[in-house]
Amino acid sequence: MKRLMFVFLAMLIFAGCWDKIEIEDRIFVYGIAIDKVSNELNKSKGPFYEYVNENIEVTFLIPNPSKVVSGEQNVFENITVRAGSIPEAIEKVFKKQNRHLFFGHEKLLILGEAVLRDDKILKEIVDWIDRDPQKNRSSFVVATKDVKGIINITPKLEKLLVPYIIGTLKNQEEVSTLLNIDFNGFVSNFKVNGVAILPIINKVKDEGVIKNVFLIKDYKLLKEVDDRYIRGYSILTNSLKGGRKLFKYKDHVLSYLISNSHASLEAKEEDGKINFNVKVKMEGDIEDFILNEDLLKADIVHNIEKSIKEQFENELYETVRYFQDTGYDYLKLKDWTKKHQYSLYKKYEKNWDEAFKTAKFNFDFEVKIRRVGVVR
Amino acid sequence: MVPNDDKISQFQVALIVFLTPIGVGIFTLPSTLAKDVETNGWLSLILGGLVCLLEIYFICCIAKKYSPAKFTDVLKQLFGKFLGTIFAVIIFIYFLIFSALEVRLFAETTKMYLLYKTPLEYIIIPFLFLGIILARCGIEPIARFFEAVIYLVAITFILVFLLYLPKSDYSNLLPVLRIHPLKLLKGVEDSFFSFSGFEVLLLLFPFMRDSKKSFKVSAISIMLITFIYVVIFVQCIARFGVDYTKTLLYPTLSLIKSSDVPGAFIEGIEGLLFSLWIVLIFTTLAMFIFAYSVIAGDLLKQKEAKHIVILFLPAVYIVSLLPDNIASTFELVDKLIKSLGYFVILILPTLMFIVSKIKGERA
Repeated sequence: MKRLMFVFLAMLIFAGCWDKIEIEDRIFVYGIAIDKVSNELNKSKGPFYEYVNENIEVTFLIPNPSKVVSGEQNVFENITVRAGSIPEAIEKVFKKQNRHLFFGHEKLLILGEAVLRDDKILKEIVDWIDRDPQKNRSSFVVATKDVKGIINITPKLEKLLVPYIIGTLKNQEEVSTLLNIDFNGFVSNFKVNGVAILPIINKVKDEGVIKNVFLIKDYKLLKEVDDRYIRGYSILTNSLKGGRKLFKYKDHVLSYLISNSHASLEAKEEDGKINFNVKVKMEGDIEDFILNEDLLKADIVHNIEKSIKEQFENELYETVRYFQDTGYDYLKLKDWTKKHQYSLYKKYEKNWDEAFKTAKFNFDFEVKIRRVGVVR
Repeated sequence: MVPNDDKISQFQVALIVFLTPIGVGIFTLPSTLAKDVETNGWLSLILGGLVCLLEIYFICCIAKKYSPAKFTDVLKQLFGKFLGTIFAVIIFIYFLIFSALEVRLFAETTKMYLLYKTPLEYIIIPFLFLGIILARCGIEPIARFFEAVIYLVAITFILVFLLYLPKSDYSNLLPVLRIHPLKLLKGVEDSFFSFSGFEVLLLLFPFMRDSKKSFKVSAISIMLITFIYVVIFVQCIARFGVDYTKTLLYPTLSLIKSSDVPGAFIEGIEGLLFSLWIVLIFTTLAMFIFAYSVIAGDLLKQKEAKHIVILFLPAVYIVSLLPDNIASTFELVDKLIKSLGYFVILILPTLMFIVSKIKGERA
């Protein structure tokens, strides 16, 4: 019996051999860029649906380990294939590369504008990533109008393109008009409601510049939104992590560095409309001021606070009006109402978009200037 | 010095009641609850835990009365020889199918996350053999094994808590209690069956060195499990939101997968956690195998449980391979719980309690 047991235990050791892939046989995909290049339908009637059309162009961004070691400048290799779908694209990569694609370290997903305009392809891509347990769920998602341009950028201070773009996205903590979206955040709303917000990165000269965001509705691109509304969006959804607001004071445009912002909402119903009262508490510093003017007086600081408060309130009114015009509640107020005012939510649940469009907003900012630097 | 007499201490009982229920169910639990009771899963878990405590109270009451007697003998005393034997057979089948499905679900999950190309059979067979090696040694080695792994498990949970506590949006748990009571009942049912495994307590009493505190220690175990389940549910909902959690098959694993350690000095922590999780599933399996061998041993009047363990191994293996795919596996689990599960972990202890009360009064 003991010998028999030994034989069976030996199986334990060998059971792993099926999945043995040497590390040098892997291609570590660091980023995926997907663009749509044609509109053809799969017209194949027979049993063969492979290699019929090449609607999408998939680029796998892969660091080349030998180049990284030898310290070369451009260490990213782009493997580009055209295919009907992503699984087919992967198959095509296997046909021309000896190594195995490995997605466990994927950090960035770049979606071309044309992909976002096609709900079918976009749904396919999202499901493909969502379904496979191997994929990295905390990778960032960005949109771009020019996939080719982006993947051919040579970063100035970094060796690799993907960390460069990710680093830029992470600067959300420094810039109030920048959003970064990771796959988790993107997919949960996209899957359930068909909506999402994606930051846009474009090649300007030889750099990738993040500007504006795309709104996605009904699983496809709705429109592009200007950067100026992003801060308001972040404040309302309590996702503001830092950054500044420029404000006007005595004909000077000055900068207020936000260190902390918290919005608390209240909702009431008034003559068939929802009334949102938004109270925002904000803390920050004055970053620049007029030379040789004494700032360190309580009443001056108070005046500036008041002026910033008014400008913030106006900004938020504008922002909300803008989002109301889009016709869909991107500000996650439906969620908020469901969580905090369930009976109100139940009443308007069925035609929430309409209720959101006609909703009234009141903003009350409490702006505090905590520090002014080391100059009076 | 702990005597080597194949008896277990109260602490070991607590460990068995604690580690047996936690198995593959923990992977799917948040999504089942999110589907049925949305954000109120934590409440239904607590209620389910209370029902579980009640059942444990019943079991302990019965055990107090008939303590050193074997479980099948107790059944025969309570319900007569014929009915008692039938009940014992049902429990035997329940444990057998349950261990088979536990192994299957474990293998499916492992295949999906770790061993993509390894055939299912080769994941199942070694795992079963390991279970058998432990189970045929008797209750004391099992209990000692449990004692050895509890520290690993504790570290796993503490790690998970620390990783996810700060990064989630806890307002996702609102609204509280906005749900139809009938739906909540469905959630309580789900949660109650997520504790299934505690029923091995029925069999443990003849093996206890001293059974006075058994209710207290198993109650503490159940409370700990409830706490862990609640934390995992809350973390999943806070991380993914109710609507997305519903769509996931293994929300707990997705949660682990979507971790990013602050500072990012390690990545892919899920591999580590997953291997620790295998230990949890192994404890469940070993205990179930032991449970069916005890019952079958009593039924067949065979004193050595060792041989019984191996005798039914092919049955476990075949049942584990019966479902065609993952969907039908889940269906079978559902069917098992809705039929045998109800009987074994809900109806039987209650029935035994009532009958023992009636018989006790007569005596």
